[in-house]
Amino acid sequence: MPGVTVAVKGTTEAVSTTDNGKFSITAPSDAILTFTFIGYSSKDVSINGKTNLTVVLSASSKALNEVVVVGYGTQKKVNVSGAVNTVNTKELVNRPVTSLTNALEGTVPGLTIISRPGDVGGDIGSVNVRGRGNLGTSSPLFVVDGIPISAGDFARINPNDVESISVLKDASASAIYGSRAAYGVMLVTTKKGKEGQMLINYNAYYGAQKATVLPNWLSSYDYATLRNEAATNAGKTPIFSAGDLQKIQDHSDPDHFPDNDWYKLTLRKSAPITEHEINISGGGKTRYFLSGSFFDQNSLLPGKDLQRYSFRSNTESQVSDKFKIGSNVSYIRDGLDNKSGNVSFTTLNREVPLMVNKQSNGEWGSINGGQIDGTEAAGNPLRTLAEGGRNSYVSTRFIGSVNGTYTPIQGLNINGLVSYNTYNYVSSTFTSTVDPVLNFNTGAPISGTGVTPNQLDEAWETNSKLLTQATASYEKTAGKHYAKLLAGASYERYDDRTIEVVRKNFVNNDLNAINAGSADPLNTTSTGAINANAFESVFARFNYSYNDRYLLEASIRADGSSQFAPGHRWGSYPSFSAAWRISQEDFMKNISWLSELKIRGSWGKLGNISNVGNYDFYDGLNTGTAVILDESKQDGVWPGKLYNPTLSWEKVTMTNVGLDAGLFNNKLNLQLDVFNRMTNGILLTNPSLPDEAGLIYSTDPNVNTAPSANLAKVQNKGIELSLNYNNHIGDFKFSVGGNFSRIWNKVVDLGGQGDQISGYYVNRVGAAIGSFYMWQADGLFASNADVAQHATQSTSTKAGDIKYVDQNGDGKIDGDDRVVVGNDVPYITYGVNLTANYKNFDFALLGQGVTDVKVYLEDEASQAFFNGAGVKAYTLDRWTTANPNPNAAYPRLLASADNTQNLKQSSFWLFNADYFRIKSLTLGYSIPKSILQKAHIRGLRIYASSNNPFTIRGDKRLKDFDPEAASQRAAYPQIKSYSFGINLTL
Amino acid sequence: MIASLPLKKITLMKKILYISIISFTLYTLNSCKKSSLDLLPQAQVSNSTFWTSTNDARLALNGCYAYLNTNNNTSTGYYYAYDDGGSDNAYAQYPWESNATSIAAGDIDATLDQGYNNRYSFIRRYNYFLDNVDKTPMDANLKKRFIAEARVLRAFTYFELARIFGPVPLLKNSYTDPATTAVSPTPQADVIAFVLSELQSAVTDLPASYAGGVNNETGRITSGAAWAMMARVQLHFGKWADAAASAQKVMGAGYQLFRKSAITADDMKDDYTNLVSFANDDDKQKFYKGLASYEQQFWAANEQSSKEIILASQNVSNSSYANGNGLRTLFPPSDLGGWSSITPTQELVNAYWDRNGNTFTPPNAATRATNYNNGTVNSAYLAEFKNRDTRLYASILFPTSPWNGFTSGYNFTWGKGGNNNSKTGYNFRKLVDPAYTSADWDGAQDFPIIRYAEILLTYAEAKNEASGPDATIYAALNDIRDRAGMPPIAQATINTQDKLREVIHNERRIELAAEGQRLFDIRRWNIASNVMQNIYDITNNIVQERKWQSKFVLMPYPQSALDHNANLKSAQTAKGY
Repeated sequence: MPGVTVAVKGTTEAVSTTDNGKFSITAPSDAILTFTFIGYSSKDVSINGKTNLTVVLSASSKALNEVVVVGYGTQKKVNVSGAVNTVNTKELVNRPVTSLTNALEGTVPGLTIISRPGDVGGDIGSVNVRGRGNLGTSSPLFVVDGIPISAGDFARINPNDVESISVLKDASASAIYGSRAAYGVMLVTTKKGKEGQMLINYNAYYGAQKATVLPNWLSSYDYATLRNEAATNAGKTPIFSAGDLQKIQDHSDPDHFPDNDWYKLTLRKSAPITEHEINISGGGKTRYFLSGSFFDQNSLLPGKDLQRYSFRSNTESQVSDKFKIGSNVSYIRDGLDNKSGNVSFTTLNREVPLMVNKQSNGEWGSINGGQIDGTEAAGNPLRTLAEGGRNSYVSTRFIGSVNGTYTPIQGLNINGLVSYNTYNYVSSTFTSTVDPVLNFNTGAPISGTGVTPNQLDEAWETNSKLLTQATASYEKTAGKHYAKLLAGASYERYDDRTIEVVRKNFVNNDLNAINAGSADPLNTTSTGAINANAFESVFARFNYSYNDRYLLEASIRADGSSQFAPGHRWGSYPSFSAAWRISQEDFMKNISWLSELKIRGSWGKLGNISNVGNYDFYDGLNTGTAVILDESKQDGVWPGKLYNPTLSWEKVTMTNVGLDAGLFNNKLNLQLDVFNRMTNGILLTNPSLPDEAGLIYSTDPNVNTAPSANLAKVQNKGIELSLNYNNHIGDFKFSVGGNFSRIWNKVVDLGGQGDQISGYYVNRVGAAIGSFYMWQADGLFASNADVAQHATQSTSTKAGDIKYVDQNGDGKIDGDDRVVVGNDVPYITYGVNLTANYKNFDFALLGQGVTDVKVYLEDEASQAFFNGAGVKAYTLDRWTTANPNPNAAYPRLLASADNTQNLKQSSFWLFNADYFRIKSLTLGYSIPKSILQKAHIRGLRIYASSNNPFTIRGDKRLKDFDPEAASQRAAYPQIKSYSFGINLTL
Repeated sequence: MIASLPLKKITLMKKILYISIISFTLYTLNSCKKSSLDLLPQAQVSNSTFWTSTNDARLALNGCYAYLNTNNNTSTGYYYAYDDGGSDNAYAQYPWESNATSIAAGDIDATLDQGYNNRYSFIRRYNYFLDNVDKTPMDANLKKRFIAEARVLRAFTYFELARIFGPVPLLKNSYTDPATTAVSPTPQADVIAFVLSELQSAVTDLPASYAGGVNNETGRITSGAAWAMMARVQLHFGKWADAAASAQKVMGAGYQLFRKSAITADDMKDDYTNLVSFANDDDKQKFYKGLASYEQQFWAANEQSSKEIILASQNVSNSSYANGNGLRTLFPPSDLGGWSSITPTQELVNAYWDRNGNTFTPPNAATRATNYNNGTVNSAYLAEFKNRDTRLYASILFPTSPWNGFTSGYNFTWGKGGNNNSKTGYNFRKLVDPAYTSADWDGAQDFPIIRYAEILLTYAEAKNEASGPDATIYAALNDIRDRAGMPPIAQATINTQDKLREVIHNERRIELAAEGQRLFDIRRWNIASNVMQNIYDITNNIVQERKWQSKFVLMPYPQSALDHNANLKSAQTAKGY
């Protein structure tokens, strides 16, 4: 057998076996040799003076020995009684993805990743485990190597550094993390060095990113004719004369009637993305893993570039029989550099094809369809890119920890851990002075199109988190009995500080230091904030198993938080679970096709604090500039958030029943979980407060003054299934996997109150979170007679307008006719993965989809001529007098100012956001070892990969938005990429 | 030398090191006394430690004054200009900027919130101040004055609520208990009675003016402002004699209309010789002086010297949207970098007198459209703008009208159909200070909430309604006309209560155009059903269909208020919604 590691036990001496399985090693005659090889049980053989040894390794029973990382420790997978999924880390690496979070999409049932499109640095995705359980944030807790980290830290972990990821989903698995584990825990273990020879890995790829889909704006002639139609529909005179239309059609007067595709003019067709990563590992008594990586992603907006450097070092030293110490250090630096002015996609969406980009005299465009247009001239994205200014930021994330384990007697481990995370963010945005655009007709500057004075915004944020933790565990096996007790305590302190300074009136546009700006009080402002919170916790867990058949586990944690008033700070969270490995029973022994069968059950309580502000219990007053008196800014003080001193934890109760099975010698693996999670005491803006209390309901915590109370209840019931089948036909090895999750989410109680409406969303007892609440559109009015017969909608409603359903039949359409018309949370998600290997070729595919999701697209995103914007292709299939189709894709055309009746919030502007997407596709080829050996290379693989290459979408109407995009007016497009890479092992 | 240390010793040292790592963690854990969880905000002041100095009281009073500041309150300040868009004076073309578009169209329902929630957030501030200021150790007279200022602000806010919504919940104390349930609305008359009694009792504690500086900043509520508010409230509710008496209090307090003492070359930048036939040079001087006096009262440069301002929403420049006067962006056309958000209607243009102070007879709409000739105007078209009230030239951009103060050589042309251009054919120039042209949403000029001209008009109207024409009424009106360079009212022909009423109504309309009065004037005069008609542009094409129903006199409560306070339901139904 080639490649087997042969080491002299207790030394760093080690070799590998050659191609034909031979090896030679220098060792004392009484030494013990250790033989290790992946997939086989390691074996110790005493030399006993022999010079020739023949050793037979047996394949390890993977299922038996596979270890799963759980809270504050590890467990054999077969002994796990809670709902834990592990991620196949092979699916994460070598993909041109922008974050670890996005790479996880589709890999684990019940794990919903939303990869919202975003510009470089902002496209890191978000995670939810088992559905939204409350009315605010329900993000899981992220823990890397025992240290709780932020979602942003997690997203930026280099996938190549990840040894394993466990997703703790039920109460039993996560209750040991108590108050922050209500929405699951993502446990990451980073790679550690292995005893033996030094290994060097080098991984790199280079790829190109393109937009998956861009808004489909109609060109000039269609725009002009439809704009005329919209004017005519409103009883107004057409905007463009026959002469204008002629010029638009024959492109004969580009200074007045151009035909611009602004997305094409503004965005690059494709932008490169590349990554280089090198890691070195090995060691003897001290084992080390070092890695460094460089990631560079260009934006589709020219001049903008994100570079990420990351560095990680893990060491473990067995310094004596009883002591082990280790360290983890990671440092990630994100640097965004944008040499161009900041282009807003809303502004880009507003530019119409008849707006001139550059006039023939070389000046920036000032004419829109024959008229001077100061607004679109000022918004010209190409001018902004060229002259608008620049911005940059650097964020650094440092996590350092040391840990020590003392093992005074076998089975007893006392562990201490101290970690310190810091995050630093410095941003700088320079808005340049820009000369006004010149009026093409008169040559005079158009006032208001320039930018003056120039301005520099510098912002700094720093935060830190200190964790100190001590645990002790003792395990003992006595005959068929096994027991383990773990107890621990921890303290965490988080501090955050921000400062932002603005100065204006710089001497020129090239200076970068804040001191170069004017110090006149009118030209400078500064703001800043401090936030801090602290946590104290104690926790314990007890495991017991009998004969590896009957498994029991119990845990408890108590957490105290500074975010509550004294007397309301502490919460305790117990959990219990049990499992029965039926396949171990004697009566099952002769069922040969069933390799493993286990049923599990768990119950527990968890807490959540992520929707509580740091000082919500505090009776505070706000400060700031209140008014101008004496012709200058005056400071003021006013009542802030109405406080609620009795605020307490959101509490989650969760029951889980699961089944694990391995069939046909573990070729087919199945994991099935069914759960019921009830969240109690969810923070809800107290609904019994009348508007006259004068409190401001806002999602912005700096503005919101309405107090929250622990009032609501939300239930999530769900089913999760994952299936994996591995087999081979000769040299052809393959695996097929799939996962599916369905969540039934409903609000059970809103503190005894009725609907909580916020914008176009409603929280309603019996309905799911994320429900759209608006008028239900029932197609379009075919005729004016139809309008007259229907309930009164608006004085301006005419044939071709949207027909709203009169739900209560009172003959008028008003607030009482709003109903739940859809939901924007993916409660059904699924993923598939395929891998295949044939000789030196490998192939992998990962697909992911969601069902039953809607997205609300309004304003420029879907509505024609919105506030001077253009018109999209889907409106071609609109209602007209010639085509009075009540089911047309678009109502009669009207400019937005004449169109209030159709632009009201209704289900008409909801679009189907279902999709199935191939997230990743990879084809690789490993260079045969026989060739490599001559160059002393252990492994070399080349591959081609693509991210988001194909999508099947549910929407058949608008078709120009990405189904993973949020409800919004305009945004940076979703990206698909194609790349080539290599993996080299030395 | 380490190498010489016995092996045992090294092991021992290592042991000490490892134990110290573990014990350090245990130590930090152990040191977590109760205090480690006691963290307090560093940016907020606690209510329990506040109210200890004069400055504390002043800061909290400034929090109340935020009501006057557009940056903190989108219901007041220059946002009052949108109210004209809900009337026959103007067209607010963007429904997302304000409710004015829907109000004018007659699309009024509970989806609109015409400043209900916003105003109650200030009621909370006033009540919080009034409930707590007592405990502040400070000069008793100053405290009395502070209390009076806050009571006036509260009364003014309640007046606006009652004027817009009719019956509203009348909360006089700060709301601290989240468990307290919703409050029923108080009848409009009772709210107004409260408003008037508050103003009446506060006015005696207020000074006639402020010298400036800490605690005496200009712009605070004066006794004149309190009387002026009383006059406005009484006028709105037809308490004619009271309104006249209140106005008289203000008229005796030293206020006067802003007049330029001499005109400069800059004041004559815009050449009107082709539009106005001057009898002689004196006549020309009078015209330009009137034009400059009327237009420049709104400019920042004259704020300190003007005795016309009774209460203003103050602005400063160069503040990136916050605290600047936004009318620079909302009024001008696209080729001056504006949005044409609020534009004058043909009906407002028609309302300006001819130069002799008589009613102007506009040409027939079809004739005007022909003469306009799609922008290539003929001389017959210009006849409409010849020899008109000075305030027309000072307030409105009409095709061909010059505005050299804004951009040298500028003549307005209507960019019909163009983005961010007027839909009616006209733009406002009133209230825009040409000293601030370069940046969006910028301008240091204050927006007048109450100015002396309104008081004169209130006096004239109230006195005429109470007792018919008399010399004091003509004097008040002639003061306004004379300031604008216009001749006095022809007393011989305008000699009955009815005739004078008509003049006063029109004088009020043009003098206060774009200042937010017309929306309420057409309601209290009960003329809305006549004047809220479809509006047309210069080319006689429809701009907006307008519908009127009598229930529109009061606005509905917004949906969220209904959702949170069941007591409003029946009041809403009673209002016809």
